[in-house]
Amino acid sequence: MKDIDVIVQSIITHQREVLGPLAVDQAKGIAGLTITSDGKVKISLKKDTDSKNLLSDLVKKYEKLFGRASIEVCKDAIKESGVKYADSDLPDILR
Amino acid sequence: MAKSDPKMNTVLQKINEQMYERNVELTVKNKTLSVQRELYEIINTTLGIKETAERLVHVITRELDFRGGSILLVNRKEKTLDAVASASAHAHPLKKNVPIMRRLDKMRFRLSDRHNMAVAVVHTRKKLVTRHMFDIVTPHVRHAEAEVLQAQLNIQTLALYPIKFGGKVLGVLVLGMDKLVKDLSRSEKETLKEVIELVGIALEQAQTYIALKRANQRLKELDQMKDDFVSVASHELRTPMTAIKSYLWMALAGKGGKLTDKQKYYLDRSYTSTDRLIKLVNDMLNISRIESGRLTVAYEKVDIVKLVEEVREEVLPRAEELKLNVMIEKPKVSEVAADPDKIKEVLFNLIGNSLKFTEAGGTIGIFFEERGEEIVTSVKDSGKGIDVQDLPTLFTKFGMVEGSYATNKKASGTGLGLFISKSIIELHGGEITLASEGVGKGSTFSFSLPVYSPAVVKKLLRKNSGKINKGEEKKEIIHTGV
Repeated sequence: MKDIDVIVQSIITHQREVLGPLAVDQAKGIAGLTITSDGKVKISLKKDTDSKNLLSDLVKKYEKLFGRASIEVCKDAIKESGVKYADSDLPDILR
Repeated sequence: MAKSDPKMNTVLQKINEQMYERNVELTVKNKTLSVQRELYEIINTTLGIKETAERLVHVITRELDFRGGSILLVNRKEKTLDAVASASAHAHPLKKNVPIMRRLDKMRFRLSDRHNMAVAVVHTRKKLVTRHMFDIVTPHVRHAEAEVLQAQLNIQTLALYPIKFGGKVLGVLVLGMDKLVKDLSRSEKETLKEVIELVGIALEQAQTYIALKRANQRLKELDQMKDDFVSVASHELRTPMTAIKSYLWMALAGKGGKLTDKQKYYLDRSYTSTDRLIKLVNDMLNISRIESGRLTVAYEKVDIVKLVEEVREEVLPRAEELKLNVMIEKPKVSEVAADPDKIKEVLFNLIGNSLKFTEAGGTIGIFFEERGEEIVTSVKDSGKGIDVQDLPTLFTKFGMVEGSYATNKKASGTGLGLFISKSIIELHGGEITLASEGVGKGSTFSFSLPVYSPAVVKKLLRKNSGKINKGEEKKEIIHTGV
């Protein structure tokens, strides 16, 4: 998916508005995702890792702790990211 | 190691979720408040309509990250909907769009043209959405041109909102976005909803401010015209009337030969009427000067007892003619802060009234009292007195006691003297009052003046700045007293 890093950045930024630094801590544990010391997102996907899966893992991480409301925040973050995407680019949890 | 309690975990999970939801609400509210704060700043700044509209559309476009926006306002006089402001996310992408953009900025639609979607919003008073810019710019821009512009501005959807205030539709807010309306986030929808209301308030405020400014300017012009008219008319009237009065006086004095009784009677009536007219014009001129703040008032240290003595000397011949006794009590009182010429006019007016309304053989007494920081001067007569119900009207313009018209007519009164006296005393920070026990029981007019000190003069000048002439062309009170 194009601009996956912009979308992920938007999700973490939106979650940070709600949770503060905890949002970044939760994102750090996602495979293929690196957060730099100044809070920037770097995606380093392995050959067989799907960006859709990365997105799914990130959203589920928030959902596990904070429930459905956190999924809605992620959806809003994607809408506000400015990235053009097709529904098929998104994991089921975000459709 | 102790096992975690599943029930406890569920409770904690629930608490987490609830707190998260509360935080989300607060975050959305916070974003909305941030935009609202900017809009309130616009509302609280007095700007013209166009500037207000421009600032509004820029803030909304920027904060909500829209591709562009425009405000159109209803022109009820011309029956049109006029574009007054627009904003876009970026500078016009291509130079060739500039002519079209300029046309868009000046567009005007007839309110009868319901094919135009913006006009339709005015009539339906409801939000409308379109994916075609042509629906909003027709008939000023061709279909093909509109499509090209829309593509270059990257606008996918245009939402049109009626701008309302007090049940009226003031205009239309057009917002161009690069997504569908359903794809707006909750935060964006929430903010937009709050913002539309504030746009109505801001524009209504701007329109009211402009209307008030125009009305104020018009009132100032009318006020100036009135003052100019009174001033010119007074001057133009006084010159011929003074000539008439002079010739009548000479005729009455026998300068033109002996007169019959009837001729004397006619000339005497004419003289009295002319005299009244001159006094009326002078009084009106005085009032005009007082009310327009053009009266020169120079506060100085004044011995009020000495001032009253000077006035008594001047009125004594008339008092003797009327067989009236004018007495002054001469206590030692502090000097007052006053303009002596203006206070003399007040004394002439009050003593003049007493002379008018006291029968032959009566007495007029002038007394003084020092009460703390002020000196009260009273003019007491043994004259006709005043009915209690007439007291409130006497200090108003043309406020005369019932039945005194004949007396005033005989003695050339205009009904403006007490109003002028009150205005003068008030410019001195004092008060003028009237006491009478009723008809046939005499009256006492009293006025207060502040004890002199430089601080008192400073206070008076500060209090009356705007109400008195500050040393430009000197404008004095025209003497109309006794």
